[in-house]
Amino acid sequence: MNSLNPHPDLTIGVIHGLGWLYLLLFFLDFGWTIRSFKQDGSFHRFAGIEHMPKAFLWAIFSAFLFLLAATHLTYNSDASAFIIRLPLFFKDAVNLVIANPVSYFVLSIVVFAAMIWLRTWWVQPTVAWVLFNLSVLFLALSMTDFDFRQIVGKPDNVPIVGMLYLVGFFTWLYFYKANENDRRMAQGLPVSEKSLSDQVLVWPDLVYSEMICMILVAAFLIVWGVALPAPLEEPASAVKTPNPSKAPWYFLGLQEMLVYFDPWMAGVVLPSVILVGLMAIPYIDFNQSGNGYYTFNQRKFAVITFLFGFLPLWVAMIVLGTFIRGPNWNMFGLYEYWDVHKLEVLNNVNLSDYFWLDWLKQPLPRPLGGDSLATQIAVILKREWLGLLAVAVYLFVLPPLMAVTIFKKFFIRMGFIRYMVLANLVLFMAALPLKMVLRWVFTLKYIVAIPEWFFNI
Amino acid sequence: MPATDEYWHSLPRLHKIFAVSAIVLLGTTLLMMYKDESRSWRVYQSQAEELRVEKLDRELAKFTNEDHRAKVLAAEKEVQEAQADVVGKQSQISETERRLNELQGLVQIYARDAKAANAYRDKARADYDISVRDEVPEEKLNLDYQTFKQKEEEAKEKALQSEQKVTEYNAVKSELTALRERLETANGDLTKAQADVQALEEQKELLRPSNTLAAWKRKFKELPIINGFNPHLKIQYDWASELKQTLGMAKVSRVDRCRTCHVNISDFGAGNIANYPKAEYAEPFRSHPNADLFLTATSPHPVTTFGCTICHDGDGSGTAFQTAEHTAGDPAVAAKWASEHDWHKNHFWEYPMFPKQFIESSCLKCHHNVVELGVNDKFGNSAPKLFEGYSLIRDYGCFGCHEINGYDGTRPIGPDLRLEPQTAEEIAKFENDPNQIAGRMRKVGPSLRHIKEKVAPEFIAYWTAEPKRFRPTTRMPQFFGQSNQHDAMAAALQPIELAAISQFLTEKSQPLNLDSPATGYKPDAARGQELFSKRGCLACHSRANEEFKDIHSTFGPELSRIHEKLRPGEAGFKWLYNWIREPSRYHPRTRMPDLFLDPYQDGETTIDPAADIAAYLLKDAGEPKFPALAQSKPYLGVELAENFTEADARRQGITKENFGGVLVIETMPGSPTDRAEKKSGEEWIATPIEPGDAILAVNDEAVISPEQFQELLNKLKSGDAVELTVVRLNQKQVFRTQVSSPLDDLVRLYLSKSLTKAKLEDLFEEQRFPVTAEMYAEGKSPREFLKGDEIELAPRSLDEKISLEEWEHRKMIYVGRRTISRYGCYGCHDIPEFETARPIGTALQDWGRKDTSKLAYEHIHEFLHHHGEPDGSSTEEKLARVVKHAQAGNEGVNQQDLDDAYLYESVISHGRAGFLWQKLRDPRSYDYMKTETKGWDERLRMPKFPFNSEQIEAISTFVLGLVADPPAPQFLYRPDGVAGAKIEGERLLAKFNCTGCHMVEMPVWEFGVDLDEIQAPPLAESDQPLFELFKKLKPPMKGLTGRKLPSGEPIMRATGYAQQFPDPEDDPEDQLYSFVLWDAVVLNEEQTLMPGQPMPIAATSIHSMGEGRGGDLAKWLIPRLPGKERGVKDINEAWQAAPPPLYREGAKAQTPWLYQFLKNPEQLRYTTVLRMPRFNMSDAEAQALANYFAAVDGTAYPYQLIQQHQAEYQQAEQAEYEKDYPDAKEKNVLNASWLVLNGPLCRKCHSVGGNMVTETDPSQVKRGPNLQRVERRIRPDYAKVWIHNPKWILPYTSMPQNFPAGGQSAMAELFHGNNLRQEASTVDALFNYTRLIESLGPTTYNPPGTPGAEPAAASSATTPAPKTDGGAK
Repeated sequence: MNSLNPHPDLTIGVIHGLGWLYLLLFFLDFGWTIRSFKQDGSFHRFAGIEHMPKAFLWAIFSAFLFLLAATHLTYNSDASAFIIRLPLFFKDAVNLVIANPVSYFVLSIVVFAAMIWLRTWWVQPTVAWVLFNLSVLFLALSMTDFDFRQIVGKPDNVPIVGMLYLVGFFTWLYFYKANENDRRMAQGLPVSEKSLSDQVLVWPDLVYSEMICMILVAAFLIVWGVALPAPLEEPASAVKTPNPSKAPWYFLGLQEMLVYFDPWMAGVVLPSVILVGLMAIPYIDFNQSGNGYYTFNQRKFAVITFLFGFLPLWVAMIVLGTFIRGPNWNMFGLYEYWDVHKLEVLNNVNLSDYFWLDWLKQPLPRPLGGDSLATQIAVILKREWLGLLAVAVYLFVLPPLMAVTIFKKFFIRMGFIRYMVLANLVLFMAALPLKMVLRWVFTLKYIVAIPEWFFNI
Repeated sequence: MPATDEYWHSLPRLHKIFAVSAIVLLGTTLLMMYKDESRSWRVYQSQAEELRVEKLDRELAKFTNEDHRAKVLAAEKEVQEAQADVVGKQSQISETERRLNELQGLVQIYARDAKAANAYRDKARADYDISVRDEVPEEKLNLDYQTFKQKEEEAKEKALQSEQKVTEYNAVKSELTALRERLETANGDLTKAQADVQALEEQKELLRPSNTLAAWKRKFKELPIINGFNPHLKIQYDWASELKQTLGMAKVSRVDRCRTCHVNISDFGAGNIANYPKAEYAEPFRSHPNADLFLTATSPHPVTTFGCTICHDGDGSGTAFQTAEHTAGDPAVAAKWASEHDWHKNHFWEYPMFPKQFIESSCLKCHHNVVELGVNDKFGNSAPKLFEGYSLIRDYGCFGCHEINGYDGTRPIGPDLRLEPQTAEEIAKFENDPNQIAGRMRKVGPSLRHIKEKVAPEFIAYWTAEPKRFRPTTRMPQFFGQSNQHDAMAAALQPIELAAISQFLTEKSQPLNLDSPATGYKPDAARGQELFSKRGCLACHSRANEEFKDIHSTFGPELSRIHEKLRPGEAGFKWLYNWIREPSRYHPRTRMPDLFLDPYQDGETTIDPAADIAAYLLKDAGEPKFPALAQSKPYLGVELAENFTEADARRQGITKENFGGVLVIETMPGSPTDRAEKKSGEEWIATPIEPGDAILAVNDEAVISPEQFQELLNKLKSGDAVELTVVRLNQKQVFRTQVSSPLDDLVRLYLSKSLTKAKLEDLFEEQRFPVTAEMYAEGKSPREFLKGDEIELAPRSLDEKISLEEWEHRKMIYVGRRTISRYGCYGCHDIPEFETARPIGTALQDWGRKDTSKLAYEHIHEFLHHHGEPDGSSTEEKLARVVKHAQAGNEGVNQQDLDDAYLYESVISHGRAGFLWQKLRDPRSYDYMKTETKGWDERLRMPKFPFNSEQIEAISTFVLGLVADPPAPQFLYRPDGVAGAKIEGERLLAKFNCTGCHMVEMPVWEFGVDLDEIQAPPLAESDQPLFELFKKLKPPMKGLTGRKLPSGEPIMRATGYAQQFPDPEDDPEDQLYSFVLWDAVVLNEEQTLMPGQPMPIAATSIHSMGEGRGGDLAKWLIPRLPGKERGVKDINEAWQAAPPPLYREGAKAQTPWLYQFLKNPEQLRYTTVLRMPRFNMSDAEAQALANYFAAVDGTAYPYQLIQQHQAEYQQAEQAEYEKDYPDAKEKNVLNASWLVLNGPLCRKCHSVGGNMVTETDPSQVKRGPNLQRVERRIRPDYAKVWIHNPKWILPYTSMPQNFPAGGQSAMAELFHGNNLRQEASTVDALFNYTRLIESLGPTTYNPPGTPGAEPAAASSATTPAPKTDGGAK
């Protein structure tokens, strides 16, 4: 063992900690085994055994977890010789996919699409439980990597991991309930919520459970505060900013947009549109169904649009910003050392550069210092006409075009104003992935670049 | 909505959940409280309390012994007896008590009456005063006055009565006391016997109350929540509020809570003795190890003012192991802490605690002078490592490249180690700018301004390549052949750079006028060796001769091989002769002094000591054997394999039919290979030649070996086109390029920064730097336009045409100049045309806080992982083994290795200490795997210094302490007055190596003595007054240390020297030293041993023999002189012949004289074999040194009033003289004194009053210093003691006690032959010498009755300069 390695993948402390994690997972799966024994029934014939209970597989898995926990907890010799760890090829493969914005974003879209597509399959309790188990095993094995541990284990980032499980749980809950209702509606049955009365039970149901929640949350926060004290971070300095400089976790989605948009767009226009858009939803929404109960089939557009905006474009960006963006705002694989010396080529080009330099082989028109305002405007318009035109087409031509094609039904039912608001909100949301694609495919910096007025799109 | 009975959730279930959650919340609250209650400091404080109780118990146990009990019993018995006694006298006592009682009443009555009478008197006076104000009639006024007088009488009377009663009362009271005295005394004795125990018990009572209620209360107060109110376990604050610290971006007051856990850190007994010494207690219960310096109220750094973190750093507000930001001193300790305290390194805290090995760094925040930390009469060497680092930086001249600026404008921010201004303009700039303070360090290397006179160009190149090869002890670091210079490029370019430096220096060397010895003078090498050993050379230099093996002076260079180094023949001799004779001619700023080695006559022969010494040093000179300067040969920039075998070819995929030629294994960027083009059809495409290519032919001539390849190239010249047939990927290809040479490519490399490629080609074509006509216009010079080194390539005139050789030469000079600029040689050496060049290195004044993201660690981790040790093995592996052993608790783990492990960990985790460590171990290792992607001129340049691990740590300690963050001015230690003078003086002692010759502290010996055998001769009554004066000049030492030898003899401590050494052949038991005391030693109240007293000391009784401080040359010389030098028979006389100790020099010499003497030393002594040399010292330096000696000895400086000059003094003397000797023949006391001075005593040895002494036989008469300068030179008190008993001052002196008390005076008619009066008069005469010789003229006094005295002395007045054997000393 090399006692001087400052970045050990494994230490006795980590191994023991993982042991406790596996032990916890063992208890959960032990419980699940019991549940399965009661509810899942048995295989007709499995590996030659007649009527083998399905819980048997869970029992084997639980036993495996117990052994795993015991192995970890009793290990006390050289930590660097411990073999249960993430294989290098897996790390390299994950790093390759994760550290590339294209594959990362594509992956998040694929996962999103699969989630929608396979919604009835993956929300089954057993499948979901398997997914949960896989995610914990992934996390636990990943903890055997020093760099992963550094980022994910940072007390600051622990809530983000918790948030991911919360998001996963609530997404599952939604689909579980919605599927149930959709199934009931397909069968002509009332939705499950309808079986309740119309009464709103405030006392004691609501107030009492709120109080219990309050107490439990207080207890949880105390334990958290005791177990994970706030870390001391880099001292504030006017001359030296931290690298990477990160926004609070809930703003990391916005910060990610800064990579693709001019600050005034990513920092002012888009956040305002998001807020206004969220406020506008009740007024845009014309779909009467789905009120007061879970459903997917009755609100496909609304749910997919919202979840697209929330999961790949917000949560995935927070994950990206928290775990993957490292020094110099470069992307690092989950198991990659955050080396400040890593460089990315960032030679991005404006649309006007493409037009004037590459296509016309002409110098870029620039307003001269002494030019009058009108001349300046004229020169700039001349330079940026293509980008301005593209933006105009996007914002003003596309909505009517969509109104007569894919959004025809919407347009008819919503009326002009509501439709235009919706169309613009959708277009603004789509602007982010579109700009990303343009950046990756054409290394496009700005569609409209008017640095003279600090106006870039 | 009305309440209904309908619930969604089951209420009983909700109740259960609520109950459980409430219990959970309670549990978490308790958890929170538990965490708060179990904080480590509480635990430590409780444990410390236990320890304190244990300690008290132990101390109390000491009082349970028989002795103590018997003492208490005896006291108690005495009390009982006294009580019985009192009972026996009861009636008498009662009667006395009654009387006393009565009297006390009366006393009170009388006192009251007296007070009343005073009040009446005061009123009467006030009435009278009012009447005066109201201008009442005379009668009334008189009446008032009468009333006042009457009242005053009454008041007086009452006061008297009261007083009488008090007296009566006191008498009775003492009667009573006398009756009770025995009882009182007995009681007092009893209390005293029990006092210590009581004090301890009281302390214990506080911690462990015996009263159950109190004990319970104490326990109760420790309970949670209750302990929030006036707790005894509490956080301890030290508000060092004046010592601000910067947190984030704000300066805030410092608050340290370290003593919360380190409970006993400031617990000291009387005399700063630790109550919880390190040996017995573990952290955090120890007392601070250095109470004399820190924490205590009597130390210079009391904890209440300074706190802890100003020195230790760390987070003072932290009260847990981790939050205090402790720093582990090595990885083994770190691992231990991690397991015991869950500790980890927190790199976010800006001020991590200093690990043990660098703790001295923080001293630099306030102690900018550093010197006081190394040499201090009160605290000794209190920061040895820091001082060592400072000394190394000073001696090795790090500041030549790395500026260490101690000032921000005029605000002091740290130690100032800047080079002094180099040119007259710079000096003027500093003088005229009140906002700038000039540096004052001299460049540490020799001047190269006239180097052509000294050494040959070949030597310069040979020396520079690897200085240690020629002189292993040199301090010059190595610039070439370092770890980033082991590639083909370095192999090609380095020799050219070395040759270029050498040529540049020789070319620019300025001529110097050198003298020769008188024509016909035959230097005598044997005599030269004698003079070399005696005339002071060895104080600074050493030489590997058998004779000089015991003296190791390192101040100047080691001189063994100087004969090889200097230019051969007459030229080298001439240079050395001039250098020895007048060093400042060659180098005006040299620290080598002028030793007054002027020619002198010895009988008939003239001796030129400088020539003799030069002849001695050069006696082995032969033809120099240094390799010729490297020539720049045509080259292509390829490194070829020694042997190109078929096996190699196969590996390259070259088949048999294509095999041949030479194999390229390395190519150089920026060389012709890099510019090669490949033929592709009719086109030539830029394609560099690469390793793995095989060159078959050059210009169609087949290549068969690397040597032959070079020969083919040699036929071409730089710039010629060449075609190469090359096998690449098993295909024959044709390449073409232009032959170049390393020199041309260096020129190309440097100029490509400023010239375009086309211009560069023109430059080679036209053989000149592109210039314009404007540069050569009337009154202009190209230098005004070409500020850079390219001036060397500019033509001397616009239409100049030069030969090819001249062009090659100019390119060499250019590259030499560039190389010197690049390596910053001028940081240490004075080099022509580099007078105003700036230091090339990073400034260090704020390095201790340098942002580590600005340090280039590069691939250092990989380097240390794979290499790092001098033998190329892995540092990481080595240190990992060390740490593993340390963790396993194995014996024999070297602390230095563990320190290295700490530093290794520091460097790989990007810490500053580690960066420095590796930078000093192997400065170029940061270029590991970087040279491939760096340009030649971008490679690291820091040379490698010959430092060992300890020295690296010392230097790091200093550099890490450079934080440019001074605390408030009142904390900066910048004393003036005496303390300041000492600091400045110590700095100069080191600068001029004063201690090379002179002892400044005498050796202290510790040895066992038999006190009964020591006989201190009692001091005569007449000695007393001068003994008092003596004590002021040389305070006696306390002799007995209180320690004992194993044999039981008490150990005595004394300064002195051995007069006789034992024969090493004898049995150890028989070996005896004859030790002569230097200082008076007080043994006890009765016995004081006076200086000069010899003490035989058996070798076996010696406990330690100190070295003293300084005087290496003197110590070496003294045992070698007796019997060898004329007139030196024994050790005492050898001491007189050697450089004198400067012990109590400040009490001896007058400061103004000392100043003049230092500036320009005159010959004082005639007994010494050498003379005080003249140093290259500025006025300020000479003043500072003169002041220093006075400051050290606590005497007045810079001016002294000479009492004997004053009219008042003289008048008083005259009056006394007239009173005591009314019948004296000579009526004037000074005139009488003059006669004493010129009597037969003084003039025997000293030239005085016109009598000159010649030394005919030094064994008979020692010629003393001339007495005419005494009044300027010596302080009167010193002179008095000296004349009274010279041995008291200098035990080795030959000067006798001329006026022994009670002895028979030779001059009976003066002062009635009173020796003491004559002695005093001598001093008066000496201090009025000028006046007396002016008024009375040369005088010789022979007392009547001594026929024809001193004819020799009288006649000598006319003889010329004295003849001595040692020459001009």
